[in-house]
Amino acid sequence: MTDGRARSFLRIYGAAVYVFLYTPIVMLIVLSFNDSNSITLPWGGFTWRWYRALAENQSVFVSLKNSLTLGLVTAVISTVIGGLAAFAFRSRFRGQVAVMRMLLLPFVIPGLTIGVALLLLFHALGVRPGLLTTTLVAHVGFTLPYVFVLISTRLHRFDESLEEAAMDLGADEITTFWQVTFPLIRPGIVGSALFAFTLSFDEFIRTLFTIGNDNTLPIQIWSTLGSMVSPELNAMATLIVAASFALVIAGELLRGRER
Amino acid sequence: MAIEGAAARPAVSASVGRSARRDLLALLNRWGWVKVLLFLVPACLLLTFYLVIPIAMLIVMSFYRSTLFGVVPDFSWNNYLHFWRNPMFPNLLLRSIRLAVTVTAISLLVSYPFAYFLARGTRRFRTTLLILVMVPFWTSYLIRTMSWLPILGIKGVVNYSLMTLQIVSNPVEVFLFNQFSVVLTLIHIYLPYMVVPIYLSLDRLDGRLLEAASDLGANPLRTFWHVTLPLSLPGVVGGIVMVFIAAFGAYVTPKLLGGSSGIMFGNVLADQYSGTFNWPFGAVLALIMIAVVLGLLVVASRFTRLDAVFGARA
Amino acid sequence: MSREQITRGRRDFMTTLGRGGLAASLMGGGVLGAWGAMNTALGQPLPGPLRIHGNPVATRDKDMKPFKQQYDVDLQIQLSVTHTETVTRIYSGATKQFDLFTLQHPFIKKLARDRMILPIDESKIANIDNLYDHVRRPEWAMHDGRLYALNYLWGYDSVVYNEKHLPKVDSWGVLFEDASRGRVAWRDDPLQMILTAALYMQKFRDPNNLSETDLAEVKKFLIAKKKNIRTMWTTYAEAVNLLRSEEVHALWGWLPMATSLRKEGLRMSYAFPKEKPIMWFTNYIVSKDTQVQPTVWAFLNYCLSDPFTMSMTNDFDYRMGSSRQLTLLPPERIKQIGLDNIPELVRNSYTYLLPDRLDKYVEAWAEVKAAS
Repeated sequence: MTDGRARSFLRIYGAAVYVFLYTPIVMLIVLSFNDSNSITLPWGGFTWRWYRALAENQSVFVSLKNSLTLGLVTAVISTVIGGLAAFAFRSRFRGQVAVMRMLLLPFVIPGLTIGVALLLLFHALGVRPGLLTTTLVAHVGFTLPYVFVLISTRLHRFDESLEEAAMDLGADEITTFWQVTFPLIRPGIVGSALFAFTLSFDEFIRTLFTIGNDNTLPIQIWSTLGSMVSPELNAMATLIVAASFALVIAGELLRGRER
Repeated sequence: MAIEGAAARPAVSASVGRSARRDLLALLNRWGWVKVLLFLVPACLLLTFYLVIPIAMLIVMSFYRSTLFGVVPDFSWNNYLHFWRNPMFPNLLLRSIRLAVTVTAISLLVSYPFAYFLARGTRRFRTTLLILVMVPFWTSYLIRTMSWLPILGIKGVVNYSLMTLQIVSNPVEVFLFNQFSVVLTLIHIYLPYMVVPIYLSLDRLDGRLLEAASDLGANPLRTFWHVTLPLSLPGVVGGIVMVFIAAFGAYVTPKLLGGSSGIMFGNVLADQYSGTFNWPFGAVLALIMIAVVLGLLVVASRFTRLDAVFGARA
Repeated sequence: MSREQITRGRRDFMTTLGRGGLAASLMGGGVLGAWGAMNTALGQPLPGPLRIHGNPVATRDKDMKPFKQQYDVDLQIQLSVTHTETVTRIYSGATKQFDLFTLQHPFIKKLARDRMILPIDESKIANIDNLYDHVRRPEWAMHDGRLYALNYLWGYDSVVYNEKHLPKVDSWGVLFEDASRGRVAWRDDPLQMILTAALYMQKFRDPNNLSETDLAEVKKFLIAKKKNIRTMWTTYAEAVNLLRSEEVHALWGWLPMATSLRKEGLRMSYAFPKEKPIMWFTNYIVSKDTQVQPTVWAFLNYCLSDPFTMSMTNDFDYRMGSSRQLTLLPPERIKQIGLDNIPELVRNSYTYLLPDRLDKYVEAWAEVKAAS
C-alpha cells in the first residue's frame, strides 16, 4: 500500500467515523424543526416554533449557565490536580503502584453510589449542598482519573534530554517547565481539560444528589422529558451544537490569521 | 548573581526573589520525595472525600439491615448471601462483563484508525478535529439517545432507506430495542474515551522514527506492529480501561434501548437506590463491582506493567 | 449593599437570561397581619424566595409568572426526577434547602410521622375548599387528625392506544395477550407493572401487598408475556415517541400522552380497564424548616386558583386538585376528561400504595427483565 493510498483510506475512514458520530446529532437538529409535538418522525412540516418556545423558557438558560460554569471550573481544577499527580509519577517513589491504583479507583465507583454516599457525607458534616461546593467535589472527583490517565499517556517515556539540555544551559526547573516541557505536553493538557469539561457538562446522576437548589442542564432535561414532551429541548441542543461550531470556526480563523 | 548598589531597589528584590526561588528548587531537588508529596497532596485530599470515605461508608453500610424506608445499623452478612441466593445477580454480572468486553473490543478496532487519522493524517486542523469529536457530547445524553429511535425504528431512516431501495419489503425490527442497539449506542457514547487517549499517545510519536524504520527496510505493516503500536500502548491501555469500566457499569443505555431485556448489573444496583431504599444491598453490589474491576486490573498488570505504562518509573 | 449597588446589580441580573429580578421583597419574617395573601386583588409582597422541588409540568414558567408578579416574590424551582430521590434527599437535609416538595401519596404518612413536614394550615388557604371531596382529607394525607399534603393533581394510569390500529380497549389484557404480538409496550417500573399484572389476573386479595408466593406467580406471568412486547419505556417522551412513530399501538401510559397526540391529529384513546386502572395523587408537602410560611400558603392557594387550574387543564387535560374545573368547563370537556362521575371513578380505580416488601417487588421485576 502506497503512502498516498494509505492517506486517502485514512481520510475516508475518518469521515465515516464522523458520520457515525454525528448521525444522532443530525437527527436531533432535524427534529428541532419538526412541526410535531413528539420528538420523532414522521415529519410534520418545518417550523420555528420550538425555537420561539425556547426563547421564552428562562429556566433552561439558567440551567445551561450552571452547567457551563460547573463544567469550566471542574475542567480547570481537575486538570491541575490530575496534572500534578501525573507529574509526581515521573519520579520513582515508594508505594507508587498503590497510589496509582487509588487514582484509578474512582473510575469504578458507580455514579449513583457515590452520589448517595456524598449526600450522606455532606449531610453528616453539616455542609450545605451547592453548585460550586458539593457538586464541584463530585465532578472533580469523577473527572480526576480520566485527566490523570490522559496526561499520563502524554508523559509516558517523556524524553528528558530536552529538559536536561535546558537546565545545562542555566535554566532552573520552573523556567524549564514553562519553556520546554509545557509546550510539549500542552495538547495533552488541553485535551484532558476539554475531556473533563465534556464529562462534567453531561453528568447527571452524581449531580442529582449533591446539588443544592440549582438545576443543571442534564437535570432539567431528564426531569422535563420524564413528565412531558419538550421539543424546545431539541432546539436547545441544536443551539449548543451551532454555538460550538461557531466557536471552533472562530478559533480556526484566528489561528489562520496568526500564521 | 551580582547584587547592584542599594540604589537599585527593584533589581535587588528581583535578584533576592530569584535566589529564593533557586533555594527552594535546590531544597526540592535534595528532598525529591517532598516534591512528589506536594504534587500528590491535592489529589489525595480530594480522593479522601470522593473515594476513601465513601468506600468506608459502603463497607459499613453493606452490613446494615434495610427496612421499607431506611436502614438500621446492624452487623449481618445477609446482604452478601442475598447476592448468591438469587442466580440472577451473578448471571447479570457475567452478562455485563461480556457486554463490556464486546463494546471495548469493537471500540478499540473502530477508534484506533480514527485516532491515527487525527494524529497523523492531518497537520493543520488537528485541534479542531479533536474538538469536533467532543461536540456531539455537549448535547444532552437523553436527547442524543432518543434521537436513535427515529433512525433505527421501524418507521425510521434506516428502514425507510432499505424499503425505498427495495432491499426489504417489510420494516426490520432488529435494529432497535435489543443487544445490537445497546452495543451500538455504547460504542457511540464511549468513542471519545478510546479515541482521545490513543490520539494523545500517537500524537507524540516522532515521525522520524517511522521514517527510520522504513529506511531500514520495514514495510508499513511491520513498522506499525513494531514501532507505532508499542509506542501508543499507554493510550490503548488507557482507552481500554476507561471504556471497559464505563460499559461495565452502564445502565441507562440498556434501559432505554435494550427493549424488554434491557437490564445489566448496573440496573439492579440503581434499583436499590431509586426503586427502593435498600442501600445495604446496593452497597454490596457496588463493592462487588469495584472488586471485579480491581481484579481485572490486577490480572491486566500481570501482562503489562500498568503503572509503567502510565509513566511510573520501572 | 448600597442603593446604587442594588440598582446596578438588579440591572445586570435583568440583562442576563436569568430568573426574574431580584426579590424586591427580601423583607424577612413578614407577618402581614391582615392576610393580604388571601385577598388576591391586593397581592402584597411576600417574603422570599420560595424554593420548590417540583414537577416540571406544574412549574412551567408561564404558570409561575402570574404568582411571581402578583406577590413580587422570587421562585427557585428545582426539578424532581423520581420520588425515591426526593425522599432520600428529604431525610438527608433537603428540608433546609427547600420550602415545598412535590411528592406522590404513598410517601406522605411516613414523612408526617417522622415530622419532616409541616401540617397544612388550612385557615391560611382561602381556596382550600375548592379541593375535590376525595382529596380534601384523604386517608393517605392524614396523620393525627391533621392534613399533611395539598393535592394539586390526580388521575389514573391505564392504557393509551391508537384507535387506528386497535378496536376499543377496555382491559389491561391488551398489554399481555398474544394477539398484541410486538406492538405494545410496558412501563419500566416494578411497582406499576407488577400491580397491573396482579390486577389483570384478578385473583389476589391485596395486589398492593402481594405475598411471596403470589409475587412469584405474577413474576412468572410477566416473564411468559414478555415476548409480546416491543420494549419498555422509562420517560414520558419515549412513550409519546413510541406511539407517534407507530412503533407500538398501545402502551401502559398517562392521559396527557393521549391528549398531546390527539392534538396532532392522531386517534389516540385512553382506556378504562375493567380490572381497575391505577389511581395516583400528586401533592405539595411543606418542609419542616421553611422560613417563609406566608409565601408557602399563598403558593398553595395559587395552585388551587382558577387561572392555574384552567391553564393546566387546557394544556394537558389533567384532573387538577380544584373542583372548580366542574364549574368552569363545558359539559363535553368534563366528560372527555372523565370528571362527570367522580365517586364512581374513584370506586372503580385502584389507588396504589407501597408494599411492605418493596425490595422484593424490585427484585422480581429485575428477574422479569433479565429473563430471556
